[in-house]
Amino acid sequence: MLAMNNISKVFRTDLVETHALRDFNLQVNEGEFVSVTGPSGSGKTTFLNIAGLLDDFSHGQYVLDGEDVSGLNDNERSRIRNEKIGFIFQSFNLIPDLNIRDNVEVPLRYRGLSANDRRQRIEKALSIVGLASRAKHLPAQLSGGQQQRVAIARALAGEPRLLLADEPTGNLDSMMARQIMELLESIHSNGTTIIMVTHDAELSRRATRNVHIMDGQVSEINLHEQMQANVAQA
Amino acid sequence: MEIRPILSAMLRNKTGAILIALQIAFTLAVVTNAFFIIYQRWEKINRPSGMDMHNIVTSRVQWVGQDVDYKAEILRDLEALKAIPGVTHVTTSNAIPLSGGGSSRGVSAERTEDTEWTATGSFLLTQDGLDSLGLNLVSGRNFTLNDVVWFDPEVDELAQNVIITQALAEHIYPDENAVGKTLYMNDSELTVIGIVERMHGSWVSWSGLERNMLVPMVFPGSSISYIIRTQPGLTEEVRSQVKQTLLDINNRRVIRRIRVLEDVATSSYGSDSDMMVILSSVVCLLLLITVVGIVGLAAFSVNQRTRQIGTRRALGARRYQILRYFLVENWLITSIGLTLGVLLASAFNYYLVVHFELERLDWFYIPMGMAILWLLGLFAVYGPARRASMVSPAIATRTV
Ligand SMILES: Nc1ncnc2c1ncn2[C@@H]1O[C@H](COP(=O)(O)OP(=O)(O)OP(=O)(O)O)[C@@H](O)[C@H]1O
Ligand SMILES: [Mg+2]
Repeated sequence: MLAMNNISKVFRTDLVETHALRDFNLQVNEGEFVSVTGPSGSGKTTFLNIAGLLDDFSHGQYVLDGEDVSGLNDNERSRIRNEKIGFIFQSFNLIPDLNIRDNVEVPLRYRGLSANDRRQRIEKALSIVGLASRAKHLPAQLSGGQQQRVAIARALAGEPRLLLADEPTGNLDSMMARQIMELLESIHSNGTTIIMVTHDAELSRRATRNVHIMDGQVSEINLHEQMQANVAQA
Repeated sequence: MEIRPILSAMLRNKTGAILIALQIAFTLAVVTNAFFIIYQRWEKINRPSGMDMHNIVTSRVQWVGQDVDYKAEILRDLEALKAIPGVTHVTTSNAIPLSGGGSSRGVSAERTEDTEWTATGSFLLTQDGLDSLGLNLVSGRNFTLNDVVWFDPEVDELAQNVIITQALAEHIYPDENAVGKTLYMNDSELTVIGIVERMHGSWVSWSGLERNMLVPMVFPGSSISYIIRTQPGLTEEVRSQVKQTLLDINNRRVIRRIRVLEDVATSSYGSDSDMMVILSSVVCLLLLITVVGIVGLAAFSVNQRTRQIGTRRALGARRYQILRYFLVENWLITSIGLTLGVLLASAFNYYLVVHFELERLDWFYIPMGMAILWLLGLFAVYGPARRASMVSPAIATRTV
């Protein structure tokens, strides 16, 4: 699904240069559910941003879904984000002025889908996350867990091949976190590749594979789970 | 297009949008009416006077001594003025056109019990009067030396023949040829011998400015005005010699206000041009404030929504789609303001019509004002909107 070869990302300010990623190598296969862990500041979000084409990188090569995305311009990157990638953010990032339905519709409008097509996708995505009855509510009228489910519906409506989540349960209590995790697992079981950054060891263990990042590099892969994943795939 | 979601998002953050829309409405109301008034004043100042404005020098002479033979002295003055190089014609006059000073008389085509007298500017000139003012005789004949009467209290004879302006002719003898007609004035009966196309009288804001009567008469007295026509381009040279020429003949008198007729008009139209300057400043200031308001609101809403913009970008919005979002949002606010502004502009105009005797606003001032504000709105919002389009999608994952 994606392959990163010797990716480096340097943040430069007037005073410091931060090497957020250095010679970062990672391959994720189609259908994997990868959890990404690591200490704060180790480069997890930076990795996710690059994987999701939200940010560019300083060196290296990145192949996404068979396409080398290193040289793409902004419009092409936007199109790939819109069509192939779904995002789930720690703080949900719903648009506060739009109701639930309109929030889910946002990426569909950017894709230029017909009103009918959009309506069907919205209804389907909202029913998957169990919030069809809240379509007219504003984000502020929902609980945190519900808001994150709306965000998941928004990501699902575009039927992405890759779902990227940066600490999707970071702002939720454990009950709600478990609901979100179950939702992600069911999405995964339908064939979507998922990469999820998390601090929660228990959630991390439920993924098919764990990637640990230290100082901007992949430091170790949990062999036990890696083996399990291989067995599952075989 | 994405108008519905933009509109519904806007309606949840009404306050700023409403304030700007009201400001735009107010601006449209004031700007259209101001443009209208400015244009009217401009038209007023620039309407043709019928006279050769740039090549006429005027002056007023006041004798201070006694026992002056005014007639002899005036005749000598006319000779001397005419001898100045560059002078083509000279006449005496009781008043200077466009100067704010002069006399008016009531005239009519008939004299009955209930005659309505038409107030008319009256200018007493010599046989060179028309040429000295550069007037265009359109029918009848010009004055001759024989028409001119030098008033003598012992004889008490008044001029018989007059030339009137077309405006006066049409007013008094509608649909008739005025030449040869009798014109009644108080007790006297005058004969119209000619018509000039146009001549402005003494008072620029008077509705009867174009109704004038030229009488071939001189009242020799302690003061009189001279109207001196020059060859084009020699006006200033002539002007500089008028005073000395007159004082050389007799220095026991005051020579006042030696001015080019164009400058006489400029100072008489002073309040009109002041009004134009004031209103233009108001218009510029209002437009500036409106632009600043739009820029401010747009910049504020872009700053407020940085994260939302990053999220939209992450979800696949192209830069131009973000740019367009803010342009459309502003266009909606402007359009709501302008819709309200059309009503406000009409109401404001109605108020001015009722209370200040302004004319009804020509309809095209409103679409013109709307077009200006639409363009200005787009211009104002472009900077903030462009900044919004440059927000990085990576903002979306940044934790707050
Ligand atoms: N926009 C930026 N400008 C400068 N430095 C940055 C920027 N974004 C990240 N960094 C730096 O890059 C490094 C990696 O940051 P990143 O956000 O990827 O860490 P993280 O693993 O996601 O941490 P956390 O668990 O706290 O979210 C950090 O040292 C961070 O300070
Ligand atoms: Mg992070």
